[in-house]
Amino acid sequence: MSMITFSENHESSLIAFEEGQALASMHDPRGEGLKWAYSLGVLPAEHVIVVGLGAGFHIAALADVDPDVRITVVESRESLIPVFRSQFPELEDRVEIRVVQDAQELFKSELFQEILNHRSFVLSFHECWGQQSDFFAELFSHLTGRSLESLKYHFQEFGINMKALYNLPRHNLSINEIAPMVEASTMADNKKQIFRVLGELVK
Amino acid sequence: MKILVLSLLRLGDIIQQEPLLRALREKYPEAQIHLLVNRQFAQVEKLMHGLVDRYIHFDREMIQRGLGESGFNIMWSFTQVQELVNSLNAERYDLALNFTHNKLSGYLLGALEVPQKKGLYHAEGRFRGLDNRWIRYFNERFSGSQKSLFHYVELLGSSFDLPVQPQAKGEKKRSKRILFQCLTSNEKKNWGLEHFAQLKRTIEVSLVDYKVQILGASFEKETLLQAFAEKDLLICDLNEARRHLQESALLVTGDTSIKHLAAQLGTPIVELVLGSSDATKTGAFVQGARILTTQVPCAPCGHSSACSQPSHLCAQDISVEKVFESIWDELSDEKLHMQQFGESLEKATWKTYLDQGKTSLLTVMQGLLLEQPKKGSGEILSHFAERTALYQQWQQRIEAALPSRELMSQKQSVQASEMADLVLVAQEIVRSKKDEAGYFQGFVEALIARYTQPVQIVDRVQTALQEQGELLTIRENIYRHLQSLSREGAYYAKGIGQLPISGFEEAGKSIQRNPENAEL
Repeated sequence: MSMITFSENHESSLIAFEEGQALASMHDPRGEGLKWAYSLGVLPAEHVIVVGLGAGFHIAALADVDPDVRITVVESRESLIPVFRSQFPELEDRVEIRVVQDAQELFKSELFQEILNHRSFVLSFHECWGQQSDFFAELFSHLTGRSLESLKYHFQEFGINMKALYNLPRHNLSINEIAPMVEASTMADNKKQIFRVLGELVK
Repeated sequence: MKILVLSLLRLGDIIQQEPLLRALREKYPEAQIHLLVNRQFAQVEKLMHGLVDRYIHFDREMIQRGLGESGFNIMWSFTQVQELVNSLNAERYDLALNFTHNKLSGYLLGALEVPQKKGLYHAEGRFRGLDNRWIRYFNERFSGSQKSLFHYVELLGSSFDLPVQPQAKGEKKRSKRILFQCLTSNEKKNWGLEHFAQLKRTIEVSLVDYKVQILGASFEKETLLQAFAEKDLLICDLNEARRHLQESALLVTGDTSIKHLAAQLGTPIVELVLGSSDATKTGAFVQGARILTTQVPCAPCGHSSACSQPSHLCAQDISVEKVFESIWDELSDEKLHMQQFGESLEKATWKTYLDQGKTSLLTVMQGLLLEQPKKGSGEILSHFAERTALYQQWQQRIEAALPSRELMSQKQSVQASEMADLVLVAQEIVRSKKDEAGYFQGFVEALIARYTQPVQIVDRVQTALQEQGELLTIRENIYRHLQSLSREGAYYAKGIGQLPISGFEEAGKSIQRNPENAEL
């Protein structure tokens, strides 16, 4: 596990570092977080998943910009959590933090089941990923169903032959790449029609 | 009864379909009519008074965002569409009509559980839809090179058995305001601000009591200010534009949603059809609209392709003088030109054929008599008769040149030389450019299609011959009736056929004219 340290900036805010790499802007962490939160536009859900806690300023900004949204953060570095809680005590009830250190463990978790049930919206803030970029990118793909490994969970209700999926790229999948498998599946025709509608929208 | 209508088109198209909704409402006055439209065009709700009971939105932009942005679950958009489908199924519609002629709406209607579906939908692995002469004509004309005689709305209406007539022009207004809608959604369809500015000056110099104002949306203001003073601009939303149109004498416009709104209100229109615009598809659907089209060979160009010419040829082809002439004609109530009556004769022929007996010849004749210009109709009629004779000649030559079915069914392959006579007739038809209304389109297409067996050519040409034969018979009937009416008119003009004031001697006094009635 990598080394996490904290340093106080000119505003007396604690900025997290991983192996010497800052997980938020030293100069203006709040501004950076707000810029990100505003760039998201209108959120399509009342509950969002954010991959990466980092120094937590982006989470605070998101909560500030959208006061009704409920936030669940997925983080692998446990030592970041107490500092976040002490720095943003007002978010205790609104922000839930789940520690995930292994992708396989994620698939078995309650959180993942909840995501499958609600097709939850997942956000990423790359600046806070630090040395964990590859792992968080993998988590992000799994949570959004855009990784090959996670497809069987996201599509479990449709009876698709998963063996046919193994020619697909491992990450960044889109509905277009899955369409041929949908057509060849035993899925009910009215559901196939919906996939066909989506196919027309990505043309 | 509950009816769902799918209209997943752009704003102008939805406004343009208003006559269809009106016809649907007239056909089912007690029904609950729900309209499914793209959420981004929800503002049409303010424009369809009394026709729709409920608007349902298809959130196309959000669903597309869900498909394209990595943060959305791969199944998020699926869930959205599924929820929409479930909510529509819960309404238990008796009938669904798809006014959108595209695959997306066909798949969506295919996913719905509605006992009666009309229009394009997908089921059991293929697209299904209406099956009548009108929809066949629609598909042939809008996918091929031959132009349609009928407007898109008229064709769609007749295909759905919702006959619509172009909106009648409103009563002549006392207003002395002329509106310009200069900007369209596509640069290629714009006539150019400098042209509009010049037209404005011409109107203000020549028609001194008229005032020109420029309509525009707020995002167009900056562009419009490059050519017009701020005091001349009417920057407004659709609802305000509606009010301005109601209070104006005329609208000069390109292919815009404002034009369809004006058509709906019966505001007189002078329309400039440029770029990818096609008057038969998106032209103003209103009686007597003055539509100026370009004659450049590249028009209409593709909707999404950029202009292929070094300069905007189609815009240059329509001069300011030509537009002003149309404005003058419109404001001074100049009647339809003779050429338009010629087109009406062709339309009447096709309409009678496509309606398959639903419209009587009497109704057709009544319509034609109303449109007949006072002068020059004899000339048009003789031209019509000449064309009928030429078409009959072609028809006879095709019949003579067509090999027998028995002969062709014995063959495995066929040489081009064996079909030479047929090909020669087809070439003559195409080269002559005298089949403007496309009577022989089916025959020409039959010769260029691919077949697996020679006998199929004979079958297809015979089908075309049958269609042409039916059309030519209708043409002849229309001509005969119009000719006899014009002769009758001539006899009366000469005093032949009038009853003597005292009645015929042999009939006694029973049919004597009553002088009082005569006065009345």
